[in-house]
Amino acid sequence: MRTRRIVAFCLVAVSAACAGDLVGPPPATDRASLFDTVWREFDLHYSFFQLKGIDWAAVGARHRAAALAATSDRAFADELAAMFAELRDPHVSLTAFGPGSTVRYIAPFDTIPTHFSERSTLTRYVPNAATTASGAGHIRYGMAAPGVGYLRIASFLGQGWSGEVDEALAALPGATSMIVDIRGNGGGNRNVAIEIAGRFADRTRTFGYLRYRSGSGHGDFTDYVTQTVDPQGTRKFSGPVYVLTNRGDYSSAEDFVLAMRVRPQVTIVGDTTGGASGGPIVRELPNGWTYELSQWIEYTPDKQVFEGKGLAPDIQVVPTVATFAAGRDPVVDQALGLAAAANR
Amino acid sequence: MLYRTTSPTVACLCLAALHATAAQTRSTPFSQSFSATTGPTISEHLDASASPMPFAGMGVEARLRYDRSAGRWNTSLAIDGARRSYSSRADAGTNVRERAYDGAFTATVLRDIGAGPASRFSAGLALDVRGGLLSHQYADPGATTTDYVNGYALLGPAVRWRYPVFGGAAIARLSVPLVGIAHHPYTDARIDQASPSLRAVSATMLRGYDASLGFESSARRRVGLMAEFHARALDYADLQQARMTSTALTAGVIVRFGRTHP
Repeated sequence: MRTRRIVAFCLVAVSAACAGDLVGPPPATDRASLFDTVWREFDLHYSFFQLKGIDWAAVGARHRAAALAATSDRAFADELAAMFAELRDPHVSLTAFGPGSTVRYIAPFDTIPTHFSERSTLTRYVPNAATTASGAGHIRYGMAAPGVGYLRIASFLGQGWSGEVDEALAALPGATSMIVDIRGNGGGNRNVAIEIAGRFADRTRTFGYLRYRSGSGHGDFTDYVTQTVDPQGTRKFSGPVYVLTNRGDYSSAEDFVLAMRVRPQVTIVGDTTGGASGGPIVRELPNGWTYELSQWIEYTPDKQVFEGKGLAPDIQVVPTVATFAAGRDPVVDQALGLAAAANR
Repeated sequence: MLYRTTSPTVACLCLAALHATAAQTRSTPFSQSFSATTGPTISEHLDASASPMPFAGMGVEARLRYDRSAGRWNTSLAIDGARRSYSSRADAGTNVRERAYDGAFTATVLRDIGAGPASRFSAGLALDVRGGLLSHQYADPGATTTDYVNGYALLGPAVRWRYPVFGGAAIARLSVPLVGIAHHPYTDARIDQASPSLRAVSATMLRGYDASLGFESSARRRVGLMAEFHARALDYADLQQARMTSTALTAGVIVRFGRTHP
């Protein structure tokens, strides 16, 4: 009888424990709690503290008092954004007041004049450019010269549209060499970028490495995770390719450059890319705000970091005010010259 | 809050029924049984790898279980599956949502240590292997959805108390993990593709229990009905904490076979 009572008591206790506060209440939404949550999340996940020589504790100490003294949500958000800006990373952003309110660091490559206009380049060199119809029209294409095809990919945003490049390649059967113009491409979906690069891949090749933050120490990272590009798509292009780049290319656009340049017969022409490779993750706060931060370090195939430096072209051609005013695009001119030489 | 009202109530009702009808029953005559049950589940969880906010939600849980008795030894194999939908408990007016798919395999070996004229009390070991996929949709402008994969293999003591009631049997089970291996992601699932972060855990960093209180009818028939109140909890003091409680009230059928007890 005594055993029975003990067991019955245990059952009630266990069942009552199910009702307990194990998970705990929602976290506080006062400014001190929000600030500390954000600071800690960066401390745990941000990937470039050591690389950029950032003392995150000191940064937090500098901004905490001002953040807590903020008299409005707007002022508090501004102080968080100011703290984020110290990371000098365009992949770090804060969205406090819904769509359209995202604030991110303005990098030097955001303001450097590139003297490039998609419209004027297309008008001059590919006047009969078409837009892919199989998706949402992400690619413009045409012939820039006899035997020289031209693909314009302004962004890698969105998902599932890499097949549009098959349509473009199918429409350019006379192209024996190809210009792929990604200047000003601020990235987007990394998978799309690598899938498109796969249309030009001759075999599986390693184009870089990633190391993810994996622990609380600012130097805690996973081993190198190999990044590869594989041949894919219904259309392949195996001739010479000229990828046009400038300072406005970053993030997934840089993945595209990496994935393209490992193939022989690919030449990068233009200016150095922006150098922002962090691979952002989204995080959220109990008050509904969201923010993004870089979680990895990306490396070139020879394990060099290009964050903040960019990827240098094989042939550097930098448009000037004069070339722009004259309606010329010296980068396309250079690529056309290379293509003509290759086609001879 | 729902736990506070639901679980003690169910437990007390079952215990009351058990006491009131104890004298009418006999032990089950079959050596093996197979049961299939399903029902609603209510859960709360906090996975700091995905969000600092706790989430609560409902879902459906299903379980298949095979039990075998041989002399004083009892073995049990169970497979659980659950699909849950969560929403944030934070009052932020956001669209944060989660979906979770959980699965578990439990193997229990028990030995009768306190058999009375009607009831049987058994104790032994339980191996609990469980895994889950948490799909977390953030409230950012892009409605980013990120997957988090977790898994645990836990070993610990288990007890079972079987008591005849209503011509069937009331069965209470409890297991508590003591040691094991945990995989709790530091960040989203992309990192899991690179290297699962397996970590040996003990009761100092991972605590929990798996408890159930059930009723099996028609002990003398090959096919019967059964119902079970099932509660689980896990508190993993990882660098980014993971906590989960879930309760489920399931019902289904039980099929008995094998030689009968004398």
